[in-house]
Amino acid sequence: MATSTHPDTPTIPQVDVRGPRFAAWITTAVLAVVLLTGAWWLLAAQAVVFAIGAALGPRRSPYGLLFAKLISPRLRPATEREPVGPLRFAQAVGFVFAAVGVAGFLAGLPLLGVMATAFALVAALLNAAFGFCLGCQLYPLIGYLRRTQSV
Amino acid sequence: MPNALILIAAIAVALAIGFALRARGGRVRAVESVSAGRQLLLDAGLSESSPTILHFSATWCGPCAAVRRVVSQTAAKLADEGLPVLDLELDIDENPSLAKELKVLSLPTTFLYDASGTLHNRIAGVPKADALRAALRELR
Repeated sequence: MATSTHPDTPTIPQVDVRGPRFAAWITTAVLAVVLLTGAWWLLAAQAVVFAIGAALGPRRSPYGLLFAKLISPRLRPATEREPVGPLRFAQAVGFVFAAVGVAGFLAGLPLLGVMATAFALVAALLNAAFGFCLGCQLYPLIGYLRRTQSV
Repeated sequence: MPNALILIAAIAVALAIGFALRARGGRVRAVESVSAGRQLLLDAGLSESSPTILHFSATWCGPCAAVRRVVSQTAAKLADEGLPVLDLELDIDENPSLAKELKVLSLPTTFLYDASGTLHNRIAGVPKADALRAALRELR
């Protein structure tokens, strides 16, 4: 007989993992267009999408609403879910990169705008193609730094 | 044109990182045994009579549910083979000192201890069931 010890797992808000992956594909496409055209206004629109995702959560972000309306009804019920907290944090990280990119384009520093966009694109593509959320990986790291300071 | 090159470079970097992470994720790595956190481990429930699979989790950790599934199935299978192991899941937010001692920087992270409480392996990501079973059999 195996012995097991597990902490209580309280119910926390979760979403179908396919939603954030769908959002990451759209984000990748948007950022690719920004890189090719240098369209700062499109990057600004993406920054707004990141901000809404960070503030309201992935379900109520524009891409999340699109997924719920158009894609989710055509899919089988979700079998895998993920917590909302790290996803919101990742959106906030995305917002910072997009905001830096917009500032770069507007300040006449196109290289800064392009590099910030490229970094955001790497993160979005990693999430879309491999399910690896870079921002989510930073989430526990911040907890570690907090613990290091408090212990 | 340079922007197109930057786009291609960004895609190449993302693919390289993605494939590298996929290859590395869930691999059972042998580690130098350290005595760090011995008392904390015992307080947390480390077994002194059978191998222990210690996996850190958190309420906000998505892949930790998959680790829970793999570990509990592995523990049950090994128990059927006559090798009881302790499946010990600890919430990282409730065990900050131990997480710091063991340098847990990301979740999920799993550690394998033998029956004497010596650390042998560390796994970042969701362990592969076969590799996990093989590593635990070596701790017999």
